[in-house]
Amino acid sequence: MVDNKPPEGAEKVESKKTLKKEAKKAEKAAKKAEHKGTPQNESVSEEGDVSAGKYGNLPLIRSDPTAIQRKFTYIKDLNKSLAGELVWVRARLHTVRARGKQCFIVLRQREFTVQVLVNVSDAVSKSMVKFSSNIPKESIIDLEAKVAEAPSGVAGCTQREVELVASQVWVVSASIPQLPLQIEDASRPEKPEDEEGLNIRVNQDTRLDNRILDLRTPTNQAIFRLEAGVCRLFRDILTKRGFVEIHTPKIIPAASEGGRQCVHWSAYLAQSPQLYKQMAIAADFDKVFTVGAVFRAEDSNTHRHLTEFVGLDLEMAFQYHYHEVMLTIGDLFTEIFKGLRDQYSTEIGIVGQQFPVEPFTFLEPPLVLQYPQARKMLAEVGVEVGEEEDLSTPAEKLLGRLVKAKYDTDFYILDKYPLAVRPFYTMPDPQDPRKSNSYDMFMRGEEIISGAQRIHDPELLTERAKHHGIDITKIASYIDSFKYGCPPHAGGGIGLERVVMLYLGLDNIRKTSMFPRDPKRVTP
Amino acid sequence: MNGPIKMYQTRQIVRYDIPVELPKCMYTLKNIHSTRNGMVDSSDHVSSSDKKLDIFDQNNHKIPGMAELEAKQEEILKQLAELKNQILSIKSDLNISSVPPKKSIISPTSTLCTPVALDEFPDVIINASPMNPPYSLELAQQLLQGVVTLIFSVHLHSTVSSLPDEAKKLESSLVNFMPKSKGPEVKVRLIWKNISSNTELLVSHIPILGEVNLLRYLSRAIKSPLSYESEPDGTEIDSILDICYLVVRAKTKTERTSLLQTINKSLGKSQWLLGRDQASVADIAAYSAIRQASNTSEISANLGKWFHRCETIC
Repeated sequence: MVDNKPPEGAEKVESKKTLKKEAKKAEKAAKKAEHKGTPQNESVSEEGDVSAGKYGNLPLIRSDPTAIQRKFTYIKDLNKSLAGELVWVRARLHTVRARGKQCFIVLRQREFTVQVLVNVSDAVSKSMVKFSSNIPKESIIDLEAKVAEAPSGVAGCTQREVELVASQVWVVSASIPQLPLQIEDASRPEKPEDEEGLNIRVNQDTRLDNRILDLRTPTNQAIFRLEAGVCRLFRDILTKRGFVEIHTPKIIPAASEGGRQCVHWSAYLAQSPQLYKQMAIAADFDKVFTVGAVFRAEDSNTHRHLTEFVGLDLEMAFQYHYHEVMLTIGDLFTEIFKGLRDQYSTEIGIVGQQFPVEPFTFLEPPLVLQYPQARKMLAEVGVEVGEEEDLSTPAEKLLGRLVKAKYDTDFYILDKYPLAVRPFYTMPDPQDPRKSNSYDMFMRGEEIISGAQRIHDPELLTERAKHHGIDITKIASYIDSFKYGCPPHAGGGIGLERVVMLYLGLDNIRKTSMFPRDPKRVTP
Repeated sequence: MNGPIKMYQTRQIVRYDIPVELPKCMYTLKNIHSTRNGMVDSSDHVSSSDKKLDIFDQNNHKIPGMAELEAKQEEILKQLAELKNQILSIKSDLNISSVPPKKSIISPTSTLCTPVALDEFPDVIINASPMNPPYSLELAQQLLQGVVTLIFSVHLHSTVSSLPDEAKKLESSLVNFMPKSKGPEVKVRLIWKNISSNTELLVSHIPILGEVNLLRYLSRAIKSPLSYESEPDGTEIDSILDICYLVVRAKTKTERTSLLQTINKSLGKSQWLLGRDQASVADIAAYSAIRQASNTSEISANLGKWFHRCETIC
């Protein structure tokens, strides 16, 4: 800074200081004003700065038609073939480190990073290097730079072959300097065996409170791209098989499905689109599916429950046997898994770097086990499950491990659950009154879909409801839907977040919900 | 040993001829190194005599104990020969007595060892690499019909993205198999998986590796015409099975050719391997190994004819 204040000997020391400060402030303000006035020439430069006009803060981009239009290169496209060329890059400043007359910047664009060098040289002044080293992390900057080959390779960046030598640095949108969490910490790999390395982690709650920053990590980028993939594959595969996508109301007059507790406003939030799916079947849509929010007000703070999640539901009429539907769902999963394996291997790899896990395995056609078989497998290792008893969560996980050891598959179908543990609308087995035409499907030992053949006969439905002690008047509208004739049908519902979580082997469902909702969180 | 060698004299390190004052604070033990006190020199004991002790003092001289030792050796050899004769006679005795039960084992009327054996494998899993399809299953399925019906269901593991045609052919033949006569059913799941050429059989938690071992297991678990353990040529079958394993693993053509020659020799002029008039486990394994490892041009005309005979089984 050039001190252009006139010396005033009569003044006291303190007042001199304050005066100095004020003068500086005024100077800064003037410069700021200058910036705004002449955006292309502004700079925090001293006199004789060789790089004046090559760095500084860009004016706010307001889609000014007269502004210079530059062509930007994506970081992922930077490679050896561009060596020697001058490119413009707009990216986030990941890290910055100054060392004497040099300044190292790592630029980040989603999961891609590249190293930038700002060196003091004929065209780059010391103050430009200083300016560059003071840009706060996570700011978006425009950079003009020459692509240079890095002979020894750049460690710690995705673009190892090349680095950039900056000639212009402009700040497009600055971040505040204090970050609630460091992206580097949030994306640090979790290796339990590595006790030597840095062990700084970001708490799950901190992540969720600052979800915008957290989502910038390569892992989160990959997770949500993969989640979009699951949803797209679900839609594509079912549409190809002749399903029709329907949209069901989320605000409903009464509690649906299984008599669970509901959030009570003046109306209820839908716990499941099941009734509407079944009504669509009764209305001759034959095969339907729906993707939408589903609400559960269960007060369960577990790693796999959310109060609001995305439900992928399907319902299908069949000819004679509900296995037609069960195998359709099984094949749907196989297709989704294959699609993910073939189209999203990069994303799976990125997530695997931070959260190492064994790759997801499956069989085609999927493995179908009968409930008694599962009981037998559990009994062999000393876990007794009664004939009409449901599997407990630990038993389910154990069974998952047994199946994995024997068949090497992370996905399997468990068929013929006991009738006693299923909701009243489940069709009983025609041969054994204790069994039902229902099935669960599991991924990595956790249930992801629970489905069954539904009773489509109003009389039997009434009888079963009475048997379960359900007030018939409350479900009258449900029973009425089958009065005008309805084809036999079966179906099920899948939680999107849970499928992604289990496919990637993550430990918490909050990792796969962009803005998760649970009994303790309604923000952000 | 070529007898005593001339050795140089060394300085005595331990002197054993000085009288030793034994402590009296402890009880005395019988000297175990002295000549067996009070024991009669029995012929089956190599006893140490005083004479033998001074063997080291002798140089360049015929050892007096040698003749004795030689005599003893002769005696032992004679005893061994006697023992051998005894065993041979016992063996021939046993052979005669074991023939009738053997016949009942081979007879086609016999089924599984016990009904329990069926329950023992409710869900047999075979993991196979699509690059090395276990063709032996096809033949085994055919030959075992009447005894047991192998019902296959096939899965594709996620490590395999697409199935080669050969594997597909085998798959459809296994799944569409129609048994001529009904026997007890054994359900087998064949899983195509990206593993080494070793086919894996999973009955319990520990896999049985290798296609030939799979066949060995099958022939032992199920009493059928394929069982060979109690047959007189059981060991030869085993060695053919080992050769089949090596054929699949052979890295060079020459290595493979020499192995195939061994199989060819075993075939000779007869219909099936080992001069049998019926196909055995060895035929099944060899057929599968040859089909996996080489093309039919590599094998001799004689072996080629046999190969076609194998193909006609299924």
